[in-house]
Amino acid sequence: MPVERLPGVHTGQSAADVTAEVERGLLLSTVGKAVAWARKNSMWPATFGLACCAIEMMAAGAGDYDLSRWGMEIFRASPRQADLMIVAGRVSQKMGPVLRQIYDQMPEPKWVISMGVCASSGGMFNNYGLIQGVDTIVPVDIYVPGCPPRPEMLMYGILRLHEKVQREARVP
Amino acid sequence: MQAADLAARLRERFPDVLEARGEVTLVVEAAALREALEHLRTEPDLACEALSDLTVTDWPDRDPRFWVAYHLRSREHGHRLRVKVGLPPEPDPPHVPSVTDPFPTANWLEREAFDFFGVVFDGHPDLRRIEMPEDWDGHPLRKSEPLAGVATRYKGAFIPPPDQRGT
Amino acid sequence: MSEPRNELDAAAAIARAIGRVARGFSVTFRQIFRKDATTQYPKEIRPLPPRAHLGRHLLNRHENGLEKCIGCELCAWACPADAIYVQGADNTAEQPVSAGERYAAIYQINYLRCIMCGFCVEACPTRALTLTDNYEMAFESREDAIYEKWQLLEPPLPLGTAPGTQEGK
Repeated sequence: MPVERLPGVHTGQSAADVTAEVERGLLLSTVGKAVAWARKNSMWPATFGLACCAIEMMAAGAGDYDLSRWGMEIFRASPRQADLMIVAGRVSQKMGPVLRQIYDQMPEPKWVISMGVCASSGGMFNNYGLIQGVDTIVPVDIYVPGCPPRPEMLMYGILRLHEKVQREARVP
Repeated sequence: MQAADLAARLRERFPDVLEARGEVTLVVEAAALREALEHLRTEPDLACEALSDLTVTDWPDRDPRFWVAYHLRSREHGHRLRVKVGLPPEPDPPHVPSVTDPFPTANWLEREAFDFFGVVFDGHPDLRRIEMPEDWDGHPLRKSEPLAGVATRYKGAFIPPPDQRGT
Repeated sequence: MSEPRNELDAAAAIARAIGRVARGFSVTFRQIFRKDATTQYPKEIRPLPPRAHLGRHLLNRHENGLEKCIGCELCAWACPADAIYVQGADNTAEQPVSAGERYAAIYQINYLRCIMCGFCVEACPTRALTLTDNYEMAFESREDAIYEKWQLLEPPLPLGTAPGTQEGK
Protein backbone atom coordinates (compact mmCIF):
# COMPACT_ATOMS: atom_id res chain seq x y z
CA MET A 1 0.00 0.00 0.00
CA PRO A 2 1.46 3.41 -0.89
CA VAL A 3 2.22 5.75 1.94
CA GLU A 4 -0.48 8.20 0.84
CA ARG A 5 -3.18 5.61 1.41
CA LEU A 6 -2.17 4.60 4.93
CA PRO A 7 -5.05 5.63 7.17
CA GLY A 8 -4.18 8.28 9.66
CA VAL A 9 -0.68 8.91 8.35
CA HIS A 10 -1.26 11.02 5.30
CA THR A 11 -4.66 11.30 3.74
CA GLY A 12 -3.46 13.00 0.54
CA GLN A 13 -6.16 15.60 0.87
CA SER A 14 -6.06 19.38 1.00
CA ALA A 15 -3.59 21.31 3.11
CA ALA A 16 -6.31 22.37 5.52
CA ASP A 17 -7.21 18.76 6.23
CA VAL A 18 -3.57 17.91 6.86
CA THR A 19 -3.28 20.84 9.25
CA ALA A 20 -6.39 19.68 11.07
CA GLU A 21 -4.96 16.20 11.26
CA VAL A 22 -1.68 17.45 12.67
CA GLU A 23 -3.49 19.59 15.20
CA ARG A 24 -5.57 16.64 16.29
CA GLY A 25 -2.44 14.59 16.77
CA LEU A 26 -0.71 17.37 18.64
CA LEU A 27 -3.69 17.93 20.87
CA LEU A 28 -4.04 14.27 21.68
CA SER A 29 -0.38 13.78 22.35
CA THR A 30 -0.55 16.65 24.78
CA VAL A 31 -3.55 15.01 26.42
CA GLY A 32 -1.56 11.81 26.65
CA LYS A 33 1.24 13.66 28.36
CA ALA A 34 -1.19 15.28 30.75
CA VAL A 35 -2.70 11.90 31.55
CA ALA A 36 0.76 10.46 32.16
CA TRP A 37 1.57 13.43 34.39
CA ALA A 38 -1.59 12.82 36.39
CA ARG A 39 -0.88 9.13 36.64
CA LYS A 40 2.66 9.50 37.79
CA ASN A 41 1.76 12.07 40.41
CA SER A 42 -0.91 10.02 42.12
CA MET A 43 0.36 6.51 41.85
CA TRP A 44 -1.11 4.46 44.64
CA PRO A 45 0.95 1.45 45.61
CA ALA A 46 -0.58 -1.84 46.65
CA THR A 47 0.63 -3.18 49.95
CA PHE A 48 2.85 -6.06 49.09
CA GLY A 49 5.51 -6.21 51.76
CA LEU A 50 6.89 -9.70 52.03
CA ALA A 51 10.11 -9.44 54.02
CA CYS A 52 12.73 -7.03 55.30
CA CYS A 53 12.37 -4.78 52.23
CA ALA A 54 8.89 -3.97 53.49
CA ILE A 55 10.45 -2.23 56.50
CA GLU A 56 12.36 0.08 54.16
CA MET A 57 9.24 0.55 52.07
CA MET A 58 7.36 1.63 55.20
CA ALA A 59 10.25 3.94 56.10
CA ALA A 60 10.00 5.47 52.66
CA GLY A 61 6.30 6.06 53.24
CA ALA A 62 6.81 7.58 56.68
CA GLY A 63 7.60 11.18 57.55
CA ASP A 64 11.37 11.12 57.21
CA TYR A 65 11.32 10.28 53.53
CA ASP A 66 7.66 10.95 52.81
CA LEU A 67 6.44 9.34 49.62
CA SER A 68 3.43 11.66 49.72
CA ARG A 69 5.62 14.26 48.04
CA TRP A 70 4.73 12.30 44.90
CA GLY A 71 1.19 11.59 45.96
CA MET A 72 1.78 7.96 46.80
CA GLU A 73 1.60 7.86 50.58
CA ILE A 74 -1.48 5.64 50.61
CA PHE A 75 -0.52 2.02 50.47
CA ARG A 76 -3.78 0.51 49.38
CA ALA A 77 -4.77 -2.74 50.98
CA SER A 78 -7.16 -3.46 48.12
CA PRO A 79 -5.46 -4.13 44.78
CA ARG A 80 -8.47 -2.72 42.98
CA GLN A 81 -7.56 0.77 44.19
CA ALA A 82 -3.87 0.49 43.43
CA ASP A 83 -1.90 0.96 40.26
CA LEU A 84 1.63 0.25 41.40
CA MET A 85 2.76 -2.97 43.02
CA ILE A 86 6.01 -2.72 44.99
CA VAL A 87 7.05 -6.33 45.44
CA ALA A 88 9.13 -5.85 48.58
CA GLY A 89 10.82 -9.05 49.62
CA ARG A 90 11.41 -12.62 48.59
CA VAL A 91 8.55 -14.43 46.90
CA SER A 92 8.23 -18.05 47.91
CA GLN A 93 6.88 -20.67 45.55
CA LYS A 94 3.65 -20.68 47.48
CA MET A 95 3.32 -16.90 47.38
CA GLY A 96 3.72 -16.79 43.59
CA PRO A 97 0.10 -17.54 42.67
CA VAL A 98 -1.10 -15.06 45.29
CA LEU A 99 1.15 -12.36 43.85
CA ARG A 100 -0.14 -13.06 40.37
CA GLN A 101 -3.72 -12.90 41.57
CA ILE A 102 -3.15 -9.54 43.27
CA TYR A 103 -1.56 -8.29 40.07
CA ASP A 104 -4.48 -9.52 37.99
CA GLN A 105 -6.92 -7.74 40.28
CA MET A 106 -5.27 -4.37 39.84
CA PRO A 107 -6.94 -2.13 37.26
CA GLU A 108 -5.09 -1.02 34.15
CA PRO A 109 -2.78 0.82 33.80
CA LYS A 110 -0.52 -0.85 36.33
CA TRP A 111 3.16 -0.96 37.06
CA VAL A 112 5.40 -3.22 39.06
CA ILE A 113 8.55 -2.31 40.97
CA SER A 114 10.65 -5.26 42.01
CA MET A 115 12.28 -4.00 45.18
CA GLY A 116 15.41 -5.66 46.45
CA VAL A 117 17.51 -8.45 45.02
CA CYS A 118 15.33 -11.25 46.39
CA ALA A 119 12.32 -10.10 44.43
CA SER A 120 14.42 -9.23 41.39
CA SER A 121 16.35 -12.45 41.00
CA GLY A 122 16.20 -14.55 44.14
CA GLY A 123 19.30 -12.86 45.48
CA MET A 124 21.44 -15.03 47.67
CA PHE A 125 18.61 -17.53 48.07
CA ASN A 126 19.30 -19.52 44.96
CA ASN A 127 17.33 -22.58 46.02
CA TYR A 128 14.10 -24.52 45.73
CA GLY A 129 12.03 -22.34 48.02
CA LEU A 130 11.95 -19.01 46.23
CA ILE A 131 10.81 -17.82 42.86
CA GLN A 132 13.97 -16.71 41.10
CA GLY A 133 12.76 -13.27 40.12
CA VAL A 134 9.18 -12.05 40.09
CA ASP A 135 9.56 -11.22 36.42
CA THR A 136 8.86 -14.90 35.81
CA ILE A 137 5.26 -14.33 36.92
CA VAL A 138 4.51 -10.61 36.49
CA PRO A 139 5.97 -8.02 34.11
CA VAL A 140 8.40 -5.83 36.02
CA ASP A 141 8.98 -2.20 35.07
CA ILE A 142 11.78 -1.23 37.43
CA TYR A 143 14.23 -3.39 39.31
CA VAL A 144 15.69 -1.82 42.43
CA PRO A 145 18.81 -3.60 43.71
CA GLY A 146 19.99 -3.60 47.31
CA CYS A 147 19.51 -5.85 50.27
CA PRO A 148 17.38 -4.15 51.40
CA PRO A 149 17.49 -0.93 49.39
CA ARG A 150 17.61 2.29 51.34
CA PRO A 151 14.45 4.37 51.18
CA GLU A 152 16.35 6.72 48.86
CA MET A 153 17.12 3.79 46.60
CA LEU A 154 13.43 2.93 46.39
CA MET A 155 12.59 6.56 45.79
CA TYR A 156 15.14 6.66 43.01
CA GLY A 157 13.44 3.62 41.48
CA ILE A 158 10.11 5.39 41.77
CA LEU A 159 11.54 8.48 40.07
CA ARG A 160 12.82 6.28 37.27
CA LEU A 161 9.36 4.77 37.00
CA HIS A 162 7.86 8.27 36.79
CA GLU A 163 10.28 9.02 34.00
CA LYS A 164 9.27 5.84 32.25
CA VAL A 165 5.56 6.61 32.60
CA GLN A 166 6.12 10.07 31.16
CA ARG A 167 8.24 8.69 28.35
CA GLU A 168 5.70 6.11 27.38
CA ALA A 169 2.88 8.65 27.40
CA ARG A 170 0.41 7.88 24.67
CA VAL A 171 -3.21 8.41 23.85
CA PRO A 172 -5.21 5.98 25.96
CA MET B 1 16.32 -30.54 88.69
CA GLN B 2 19.87 -30.36 87.40
CA ALA B 3 20.79 -32.19 84.23
CA ALA B 4 22.76 -34.87 86.06
CA ASP B 5 19.91 -35.47 88.51
CA LEU B 6 17.43 -35.58 85.67
CA ALA B 7 19.56 -38.08 83.78
CA ALA B 8 19.86 -40.24 86.90
CA ARG B 9 16.13 -40.05 87.45
CA LEU B 10 15.45 -41.06 83.84
CA ARG B 11 17.88 -43.96 83.99
CA GLU B 12 15.61 -45.58 86.55
CA ARG B 13 13.23 -46.41 83.75
CA PHE B 14 14.92 -45.82 80.38
CA PRO B 15 18.10 -47.61 79.41
CA ASP B 16 19.49 -45.14 76.86
CA VAL B 17 20.01 -41.72 78.43
CA LEU B 18 22.79 -39.35 77.39
CA GLU B 19 23.89 -36.25 79.21
CA ALA B 20 26.20 -33.81 77.52
CA ARG B 21 26.83 -30.07 78.04
CA GLY B 22 23.96 -29.79 80.46
CA GLU B 23 21.46 -31.30 78.05
CA VAL B 24 19.70 -34.59 78.56
CA THR B 25 18.84 -36.78 75.60
CA LEU B 26 16.72 -39.84 75.78
CA VAL B 27 16.77 -42.32 72.92
CA VAL B 28 13.77 -44.60 72.53
CA GLU B 29 12.43 -47.02 69.95
CA ALA B 30 9.65 -45.85 67.64
CA ALA B 31 7.28 -48.46 69.07
CA ALA B 32 7.88 -47.25 72.64
CA LEU B 33 7.70 -43.52 71.81
CA ARG B 34 4.11 -42.78 72.79
CA GLU B 35 4.42 -44.68 76.02
CA ALA B 36 7.66 -42.88 76.90
CA LEU B 37 6.26 -39.43 76.18
CA GLU B 38 3.14 -40.23 78.15
CA HIS B 39 5.31 -41.30 81.07
CA LEU B 40 7.40 -38.13 80.89
CA ARG B 41 4.28 -36.03 80.75
CA THR B 42 2.32 -37.58 83.60
CA GLU B 43 5.01 -38.48 86.15
CA PRO B 44 4.77 -35.75 88.84
CA ASP B 45 8.50 -35.20 89.29
CA LEU B 46 9.14 -35.03 85.52
CA ALA B 47 5.95 -33.26 84.34
CA CYS B 48 7.20 -32.47 80.83
CA GLU B 49 3.85 -31.16 79.72
CA ALA B 50 5.05 -28.88 76.90
CA LEU B 51 6.36 -30.04 73.55
CA SER B 52 8.36 -27.02 72.51
CA ASP B 53 9.75 -28.35 69.23
CA LEU B 54 9.80 -31.32 66.95
CA THR B 55 12.53 -31.64 64.38
CA VAL B 56 14.07 -34.20 62.09
CA THR B 57 17.65 -34.66 60.94
CA ASP B 58 18.69 -36.61 57.91
CA TRP B 59 21.94 -38.59 57.88
CA PRO B 60 22.30 -40.25 54.51
CA ASP B 61 24.33 -43.49 54.29
CA ARG B 62 23.78 -44.20 57.96
CA ASP B 63 21.51 -46.44 59.89
CA PRO B 64 19.33 -45.03 61.39
CA ARG B 65 19.01 -42.46 58.68
CA PHE B 66 16.43 -40.12 60.23
CA TRP B 67 16.40 -38.93 63.79
CA VAL B 68 13.13 -37.42 64.98
CA ALA B 69 13.75 -35.21 68.00
CA TYR B 70 11.08 -34.14 70.47
CA HIS B 71 12.05 -31.22 72.67
CA LEU B 72 10.13 -31.29 75.92
CA ARG B 73 9.93 -28.74 78.66
CA SER B 74 8.52 -28.76 82.11
CA ARG B 75 7.05 -25.44 83.17
CA GLU B 76 6.66 -26.68 86.71
CA HIS B 77 10.24 -27.82 87.31
CA GLY B 78 11.92 -25.71 84.64
CA HIS B 79 13.91 -28.49 83.03
CA ARG B 80 14.20 -29.45 79.40
CA LEU B 81 14.95 -32.75 77.77
CA ARG B 82 15.13 -34.20 74.32
CA VAL B 83 13.66 -37.47 73.18
CA LYS B 84 15.06 -38.96 69.99
CA VAL B 85 13.78 -41.71 67.77
CA GLY B 86 16.01 -43.27 65.11
CA LEU B 87 14.37 -44.40 61.89
CA PRO B 88 16.06 -46.80 59.45
CA PRO B 89 16.46 -45.94 55.74
CA GLU B 90 14.04 -48.72 54.86
CA PRO B 91 11.08 -48.54 54.45
CA ASP B 92 10.89 -45.20 52.66
CA PRO B 93 8.91 -43.18 53.77
CA PRO B 94 9.72 -43.93 57.41
CA HIS B 95 6.89 -44.28 59.87
CA VAL B 96 6.67 -43.05 63.43
CA PRO B 97 3.61 -42.85 65.69
CA SER B 98 2.00 -39.44 65.97
CA VAL B 99 1.98 -37.72 69.35
CA THR B 100 -0.87 -35.33 68.60
CA ASP B 101 -2.94 -37.08 71.23
CA PRO B 102 -0.96 -36.09 74.34
CA PHE B 103 0.51 -32.95 72.71
CA PRO B 104 -1.96 -31.15 70.41
CA THR B 105 0.78 -28.72 69.40
CA ALA B 106 2.48 -31.57 67.57
CA ASN B 107 -0.16 -31.27 64.85
CA TRP B 108 1.54 -28.54 62.84
CA LEU B 109 5.04 -29.56 63.88
CA GLU B 110 4.47 -33.03 62.51
CA ARG B 111 2.98 -31.62 59.34
CA GLU B 112 6.12 -29.54 58.91
CA ALA B 113 8.36 -32.55 59.52
CA PHE B 114 6.36 -34.53 57.00
CA ASP B 115 6.53 -31.68 54.54
CA PHE B 116 10.29 -31.25 54.65
CA PHE B 117 11.51 -34.76 55.40
CA GLY B 118 8.73 -37.10 54.34
CA VAL B 119 8.44 -38.77 57.72
CA VAL B 120 4.94 -40.23 58.01
CA PHE B 121 3.33 -39.82 61.41
CA ASP B 122 0.86 -42.67 61.88
CA GLY B 123 -2.37 -41.56 63.49
CA HIS B 124 -2.02 -37.87 62.62
CA PRO B 125 -5.49 -36.41 62.02
CA ASP B 126 -4.57 -34.31 58.97
CA LEU B 127 -1.18 -35.09 57.52
CA ARG B 128 -0.86 -32.59 54.64
CA ARG B 129 1.91 -30.29 53.48
CA ILE B 130 2.01 -27.11 55.52
CA GLU B 131 4.71 -24.89 54.04
CA MET B 132 5.53 -26.09 50.55
CA PRO B 133 2.89 -25.87 47.80
CA GLU B 134 0.37 -28.67 47.84
CA ASP B 135 1.53 -30.07 44.51
CA TRP B 136 5.22 -30.07 45.39
CA ASP B 137 7.18 -33.12 44.39
CA GLY B 138 9.62 -34.46 46.97
CA HIS B 139 10.68 -33.42 50.45
CA PRO B 140 13.17 -30.59 50.13
CA LEU B 141 15.20 -30.81 53.33
CA ARG B 142 16.29 -34.38 52.70
CA LYS B 143 19.94 -34.50 51.83
CA SER B 144 19.14 -36.49 48.70
CA GLU B 145 17.01 -33.67 47.27
CA PRO B 146 18.65 -31.23 44.87
CA LEU B 147 18.99 -27.62 45.97
CA ALA B 148 17.33 -26.65 42.71
CA GLY B 149 18.59 -23.13 42.04
CA VAL B 150 18.89 -21.43 38.69
CA ALA B 151 21.96 -20.33 36.77
CA THR B 152 22.98 -16.71 37.29
CA ARG B 153 23.17 -14.85 34.05
CA TYR B 154 26.02 -12.66 32.88
CA LYS B 155 26.83 -11.04 29.61
CA GLY B 156 28.16 -13.95 27.63
CA ALA B 157 28.30 -16.41 30.50
CA PHE B 158 26.30 -18.27 33.10
CA ILE B 159 27.26 -19.30 36.60
CA PRO B 160 25.57 -22.63 37.31
CA PRO B 161 23.52 -23.05 40.50
CA PRO B 162 25.46 -23.98 43.64
CA ASP B 163 24.70 -27.69 43.62
CA GLN B 164 25.73 -28.21 40.01
CA ARG B 165 29.06 -26.47 40.27
CA GLY B 166 32.40 -28.24 40.20
CA THR B 167 34.76 -27.33 42.98
CA MET C 1 -25.48 19.75 78.02
CA SER C 2 -28.75 21.16 79.23
CA GLU C 3 -31.03 23.31 77.11
CA PRO C 4 -29.92 27.03 77.21
CA ARG C 5 -32.43 29.05 79.23
CA ASN C 6 -31.71 32.50 77.79
CA GLU C 7 -29.51 34.23 75.20
CA LEU C 8 -26.71 34.88 77.65
CA ASP C 9 -26.47 31.21 78.42
CA ALA C 10 -26.45 30.38 74.71
CA ALA C 11 -23.63 32.84 74.02
CA ALA C 12 -21.63 31.40 76.89
CA ALA C 13 -22.14 27.88 75.53
CA ILE C 14 -20.93 28.93 72.08
CA ALA C 15 -17.89 30.64 73.58
CA ARG C 16 -17.10 27.51 75.56
CA ALA C 17 -17.41 25.37 72.45
CA ILE C 18 -15.10 27.67 70.49
CA GLY C 19 -12.61 27.55 73.32
CA ARG C 20 -12.59 23.77 73.31
CA VAL C 21 -12.15 23.55 69.57
CA ALA C 22 -9.34 26.08 69.70
CA ARG C 23 -7.62 24.10 72.41
CA GLY C 24 -7.90 20.94 70.35
CA PHE C 25 -6.66 22.56 67.19
CA SER C 26 -3.80 24.25 68.99
CA VAL C 27 -2.02 20.88 68.79
CA THR C 28 -2.53 20.88 65.04
CA PHE C 29 -1.51 24.46 64.52
CA ARG C 30 1.58 24.11 66.69
CA GLN C 31 2.86 21.48 64.24
CA ILE C 32 2.76 23.99 61.38
CA PHE C 33 5.58 26.01 62.88
CA ARG C 34 7.76 23.06 63.73
CA LYS C 35 10.72 22.19 61.56
CA ASP C 36 9.99 19.76 58.76
CA ALA C 37 11.56 16.36 59.38
CA THR C 38 11.40 15.23 55.77
CA THR C 39 14.55 14.92 53.71
CA GLN C 40 13.62 16.21 50.27
CA TYR C 41 15.48 13.36 48.67
CA PRO C 42 16.57 14.27 45.15
CA LYS C 43 17.13 17.89 46.13
CA GLU C 44 18.92 17.24 49.40
CA ILE C 45 20.84 14.12 50.29
CA ARG C 46 20.74 12.77 53.79
CA PRO C 47 24.34 12.42 54.96
CA LEU C 48 25.57 8.87 55.21
CA PRO C 49 27.91 7.46 57.83
CA PRO C 50 31.53 8.11 56.83
CA ARG C 51 32.37 4.54 55.89
CA ALA C 52 28.97 3.58 54.53
CA HIS C 53 29.22 0.88 51.90
CA LEU C 54 25.74 0.33 50.67
CA GLY C 55 26.02 0.98 46.98
CA ARG C 56 27.85 0.23 43.84
CA HIS C 57 31.30 -1.37 43.63
CA LEU C 58 34.33 0.43 42.34
CA LEU C 59 37.38 -1.18 40.76
CA ASN C 60 40.38 0.87 41.77
CA ARG C 61 43.52 1.72 39.88
CA HIS C 62 47.06 2.30 40.98
CA GLU C 63 48.40 5.82 40.74
CA ASN C 64 50.20 4.97 37.52
CA GLY C 65 46.93 3.94 35.90
CA LEU C 66 47.37 0.20 36.15
CA GLU C 67 44.46 -1.76 37.52
CA LYS C 68 44.76 -3.18 40.97
CA CYS C 69 42.65 -6.21 40.11
CA ILE C 70 44.79 -9.26 39.36
CA GLY C 71 41.97 -11.54 38.25
CA CYS C 72 42.32 -14.00 41.12
CA GLU C 73 38.56 -14.62 41.40
CA LEU C 74 38.65 -14.61 45.18
CA CYS C 75 35.79 -12.11 45.21
CA ALA C 76 33.71 -14.44 43.07
CA TRP C 77 34.41 -17.31 45.45
CA ALA C 78 33.61 -15.22 48.50
CA CYS C 79 30.32 -14.00 47.06
CA PRO C 80 27.41 -15.72 48.79
CA ALA C 81 25.02 -14.81 46.00
CA ASP C 82 27.16 -15.64 42.91
CA ALA C 83 26.93 -12.02 41.87
CA ILE C 84 30.48 -11.70 40.52
CA TYR C 85 31.87 -13.29 37.40
CA VAL C 86 35.60 -12.96 36.74
CA GLN C 87 37.76 -14.42 34.07
CA GLY C 88 41.47 -13.78 34.32
CA ALA C 89 44.09 -13.58 31.59
CA ASP C 90 47.86 -13.22 31.53
CA ASN C 91 49.40 -9.79 31.26
CA THR C 92 51.73 -9.10 28.38
CA ALA C 93 55.05 -7.39 29.05
CA GLU C 94 54.44 -4.70 26.44
CA GLN C 95 51.00 -3.61 27.50
CA PRO C 96 50.27 -4.59 31.09
CA VAL C 97 46.72 -3.99 32.26
CA SER C 98 47.26 -4.65 35.93
CA ALA C 99 50.18 -4.59 38.32
CA GLY C 100 50.30 -8.35 38.78
CA GLU C 101 50.99 -11.27 36.53
CA ARG C 102 47.36 -11.59 35.57
CA TYR C 103 44.46 -9.26 35.09
CA ALA C 104 40.68 -9.57 34.88
CA ALA C 105 39.77 -9.94 31.22
CA ILE C 106 36.10 -10.13 32.10
CA TYR C 107 34.74 -8.64 35.27
CA GLN C 108 31.00 -8.45 35.72
CA ILE C 109 28.77 -7.86 38.70
CA ASN C 110 25.12 -8.74 38.52
CA TYR C 111 23.38 -6.17 40.67
CA LEU C 112 20.21 -8.19 40.77
CA ARG C 113 22.14 -10.74 42.83
CA CYS C 114 24.54 -8.53 44.76
CA ILE C 115 23.50 -7.94 48.36
CA MET C 116 26.27 -5.42 49.16
CA CYS C 117 27.56 -7.54 52.02
CA GLY C 118 31.17 -6.59 51.38
CA PHE C 119 32.60 -10.12 51.52
CA CYS C 120 34.22 -9.51 48.13
CA VAL C 121 35.97 -6.45 49.51
CA GLU C 122 37.25 -8.46 52.46
CA ALA C 123 38.44 -11.21 50.16
CA CYS C 124 40.29 -8.93 47.76
CA PRO C 125 44.05 -9.30 48.32
CA THR C 126 45.00 -6.11 46.48
CA ARG C 127 42.26 -3.75 47.65
CA ALA C 128 41.13 -3.51 44.08
CA LEU C 129 37.46 -3.81 44.84
CA THR C 130 35.70 -1.41 47.17
CA LEU C 131 32.11 -0.56 47.83
CA THR C 132 30.97 3.00 47.43
CA ASP C 133 28.03 4.81 48.93
CA ASN C 134 26.39 5.41 45.57
CA TYR C 135 22.98 3.88 45.97
CA GLU C 136 21.32 5.47 42.97
CA MET C 137 20.69 2.36 40.93
CA ALA C 138 17.49 1.20 39.31
CA PHE C 139 17.18 -0.85 36.17
CA GLU C 140 14.54 -1.31 33.54
CA SER C 141 15.84 -4.65 32.33
CA ARG C 142 17.91 -7.52 33.62
CA GLU C 143 20.60 -6.74 31.06
CA ASP C 144 21.15 -3.27 32.48
CA ALA C 145 21.73 -4.72 35.92
CA ILE C 146 24.86 -6.54 34.84
CA TYR C 147 27.69 -4.06 35.20
CA GLU C 148 30.73 -4.71 33.07
CA LYS C 149 34.31 -3.89 33.84
CA TRP C 150 34.40 -0.48 32.18
CA GLN C 151 31.36 0.59 34.18
CA LEU C 152 32.88 -0.63 37.43
CA LEU C 153 36.14 1.19 36.73
CA GLU C 154 34.34 4.52 36.47
CA PRO C 155 34.02 6.37 39.77
CA PRO C 156 30.33 6.77 40.57
CA LEU C 157 28.58 10.06 40.06
CA PRO C 158 27.90 12.14 43.16
CA LEU C 159 24.57 11.42 44.78
CA GLY C 160 21.60 13.31 43.46
CA THR C 161 22.91 13.57 39.91
CA ALA C 162 21.99 10.18 38.48
CA PRO C 163 19.65 10.15 35.47
CA GLY C 164 16.10 10.31 36.69
CA THR C 165 16.69 12.41 39.75
CA GLN C 166 15.84 15.60 37.90
CA GLU C 167 12.34 14.13 37.74
CA GLY C 168 11.84 14.80 41.43
CA LYS C 169 13.53 18.17 41.60
